Amino acid sequence: GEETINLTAISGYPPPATWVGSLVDAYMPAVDAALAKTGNYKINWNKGISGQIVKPRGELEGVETGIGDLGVIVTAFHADKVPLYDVSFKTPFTSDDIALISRTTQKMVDTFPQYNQTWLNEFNQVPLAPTGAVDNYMLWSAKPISDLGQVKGLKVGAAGPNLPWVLAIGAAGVQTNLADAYNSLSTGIYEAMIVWRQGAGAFKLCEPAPFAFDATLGGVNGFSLNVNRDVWDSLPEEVQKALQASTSAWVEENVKRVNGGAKWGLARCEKEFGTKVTKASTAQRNAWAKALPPLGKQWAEQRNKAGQPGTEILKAWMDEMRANNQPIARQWDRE
Amino acid sequence: MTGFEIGIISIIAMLLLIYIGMHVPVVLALISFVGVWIIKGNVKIAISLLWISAAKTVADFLFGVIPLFVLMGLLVSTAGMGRDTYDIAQNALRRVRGGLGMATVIANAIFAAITGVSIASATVFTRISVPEMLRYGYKGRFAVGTVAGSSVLGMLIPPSILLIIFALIAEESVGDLFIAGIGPGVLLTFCFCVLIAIMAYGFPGVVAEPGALDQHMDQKKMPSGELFAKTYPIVILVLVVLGGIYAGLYTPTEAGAAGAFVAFLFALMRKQITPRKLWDVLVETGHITATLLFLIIAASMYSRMLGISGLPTELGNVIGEMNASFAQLMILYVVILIILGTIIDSVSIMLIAVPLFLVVLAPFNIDLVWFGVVTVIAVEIGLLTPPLGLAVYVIKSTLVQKDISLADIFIGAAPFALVMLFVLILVMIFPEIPLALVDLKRSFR
Amino acid sequence: MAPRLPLSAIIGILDVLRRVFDWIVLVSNAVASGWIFILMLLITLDITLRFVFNSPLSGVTEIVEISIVTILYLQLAHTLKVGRITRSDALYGRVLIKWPPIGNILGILFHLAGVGLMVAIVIGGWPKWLQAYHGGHFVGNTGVFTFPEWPQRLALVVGCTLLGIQFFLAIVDNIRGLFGRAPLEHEEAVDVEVAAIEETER
Ligand code: NA
Ligand code: NA
Repeated sequence: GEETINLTAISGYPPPATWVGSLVDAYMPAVDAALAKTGNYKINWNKGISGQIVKPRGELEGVETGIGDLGVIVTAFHADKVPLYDVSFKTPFTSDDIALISRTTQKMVDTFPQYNQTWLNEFNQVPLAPTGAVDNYMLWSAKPISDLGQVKGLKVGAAGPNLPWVLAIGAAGVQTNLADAYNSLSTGIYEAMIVWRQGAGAFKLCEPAPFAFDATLGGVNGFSLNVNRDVWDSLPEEVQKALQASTSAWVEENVKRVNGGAKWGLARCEKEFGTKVTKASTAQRNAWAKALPPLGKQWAEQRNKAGQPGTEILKAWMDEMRANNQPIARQWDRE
Repeated sequence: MTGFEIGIISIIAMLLLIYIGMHVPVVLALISFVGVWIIKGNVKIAISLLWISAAKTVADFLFGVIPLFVLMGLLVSTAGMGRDTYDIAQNALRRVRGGLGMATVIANAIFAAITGVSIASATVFTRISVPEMLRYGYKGRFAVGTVAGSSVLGMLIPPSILLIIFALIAEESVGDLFIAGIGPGVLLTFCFCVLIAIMAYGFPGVVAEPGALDQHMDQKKMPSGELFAKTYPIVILVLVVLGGIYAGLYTPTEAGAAGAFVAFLFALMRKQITPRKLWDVLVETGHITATLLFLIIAASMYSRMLGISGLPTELGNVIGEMNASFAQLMILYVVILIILGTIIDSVSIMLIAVPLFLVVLAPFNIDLVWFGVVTVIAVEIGLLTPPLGLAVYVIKSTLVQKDISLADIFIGAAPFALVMLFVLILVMIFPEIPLALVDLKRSFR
Repeated sequence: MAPRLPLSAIIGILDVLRRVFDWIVLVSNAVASGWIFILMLLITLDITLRFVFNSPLSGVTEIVEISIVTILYLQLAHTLKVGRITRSDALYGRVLIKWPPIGNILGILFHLAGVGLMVAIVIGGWPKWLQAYHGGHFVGNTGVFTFPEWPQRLALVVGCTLLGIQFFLAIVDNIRGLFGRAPLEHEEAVDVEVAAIEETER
């Protein structure tokens, strides 16, 4: 007969967030379909999303403690707990191919056991797969920017991990979040912001900041889909396999939505607010990249000190990017 | 047990325990703890739920507004500015029956332009209006009811935490939502005043002791010098808080600190504050903050427990299978918000219900700004309804007159909740009420 | 056999402990209250620096986040002590007057629930503060501003412990009440309510 298993999936974010939407719309049906093949098990999904069970940033501890059986952890928020996922933030100007970024992060997880060990031993959870968050960050501003010199002294809003990118070229960085962005840009708390196209469109940030300066800052990995370790151990092998194998559906759909969102966001901005994108010249892009501190090296050294293979991961990451002919402006691992 | 069963049983237990006098946050935490223990069959997870809510619910910059706006409110009243706002409104309405009540409503509408949280309005006006109304022979129940009712303006007239949170969930522009809040806010202010007039002329016994209502009618018009002296600090405070937000000096969250600082300066200038008084204000701020945050955390435990029970998912499935018309869905939506409003806090309600209905309503191509305003008004009704009515609890915890009971406040607030329902229906039927100003702004593009 | 302490000595020790506890609750309340004022000044300073000198303070966001939790947990015990935790005490107050034994037994159950929940939170929170401490967890962003996470986690444990003890003291008072003794604590809200009821019923 068929056995029903109750699973509660958690996220602090609602379905419009690509990583949640693709979890509900692609991952869960994929798991259901995989299990339907034999008919031995059926999952009764409780969609504990939209902050019903944990607030944003609470997913890691939610899965750790078993309040949720599985959930999407926003690794970008937990640089203190899972710093190895941070490598993409420390290597800007490298790649805007989010599918590649997702794949490469998976490769790092497969190659370096430290990724899994941290999750298993410190946070009581089993990681199934990582995926990307942002395809390409751009600098959106109220007045057109065509030259790096114009950023000097400019008040630029950015999320914490992006802040060092603009501080390096003389901006007065203001740490911010999407919630405050529209208001802050409209009123001039800051005059520009580092944000991606989908975000700019969805929150109409291009209304107060219609000019985008695209230096191909690149994208980042952001998420890991994890299962509580005790729950994982209690699941039948067939279910484990289905949960693991279906992650490709989640990753693919998320990548598709991020890329589609970027296109949609830019189109909305162009149509409704006359957005103009200024592409940085190669010289400008290189100059910006060069102005940054050696973020990759600093990160690798810190990881080394903590007994993790920082230098190796950084090199493996950049090797993968080079092997895929990415527009690399700075060889972060060769400094 | 299904989510629905757990929901119903927990509500009954909650009503009973609150009624017999257990501390409200303890009730919510206890029910959540037991609930999760039963659902998961694992006490460790129940313990984790308590801890994670306790540690994570309010650890957010947004919650900084609570101590800061409460502090501003108390400093404003220490400096005598709240009373001044009230005096001005009251003097202007001195020839009107029930004028003190209307003054409370209008002063609240003005104060709403400074604060983003209704709890702050409720705190300030409990201290300012209630003693004044009692002094003139108004009934306690009416006085606290008026304060409770008009405090909801704090989150309808911008800035507003609820509108910001809606914007986040629905990915709408905060600016448009703020502007959309103005029309319904003004309409609600007007309707509250009409309600008070009807009560004062039609049912004077409900409002005040016999003969008390007309006492203040012989009051003289305020001399213009006094009027100016009382007006300018408020104008400055509004400029600092609202002007600061719109002129780009700071975010709504930071406005609380700036406003508190300016109120502090005014209190110093007017020699209304001594170190001792400042200390009392700070300790009071601490107590109110702790009371509220504890409640918010406990309410969050409860809504997380419901999430674990699967109630929202079940609800979503049922609605998805209904095949209802747009009007039916909107009515169902509002009814669900109001029912949830009786037992959980505003923010949790929005987080549970909005994403659910955004999916269901997607085929109808609705204006999300209008939808946001409808949501916020419906959710705010919950501030006034028992058993969990946050505005009412705030008033109870701020009130000096301990002989006014929680039940008195709920009863006093009931007519105001009904008027909110009326305005909500108007806004649903006439989307122009919120959208007219938004369209005007959009036309300038 | 160890010599038995006279009862009066035990009561004396308990009394001293209680006074020490009251003092701790008062101090933690004072720290949290002062902190709110400092927070206001800090944010105002940040705004001023950003606007006038174009150079914001870094880390204010994180400091506010940390402060909210810390302020809350340092205040809770005192807030309970002065009777400010929300409750609907109309019925309870009346029962306490008319049928003191029933009222006090109810009170014991209410406060016992408080003690139990605080014990649960402390059990849940203890390993988490150690984890944050030993794992070097922090809030903020490397290269911008970081602050260790463990102090706020510890504040939660300490605050809930104090609140648990405060609930326990309320039980002691209810037990005293069962034997017709006056309470040691003053649950102000209930007291006033009781006074008001006595007034109306006289
Ligand atoms: Na407001
Ligand atoms: Na309610």
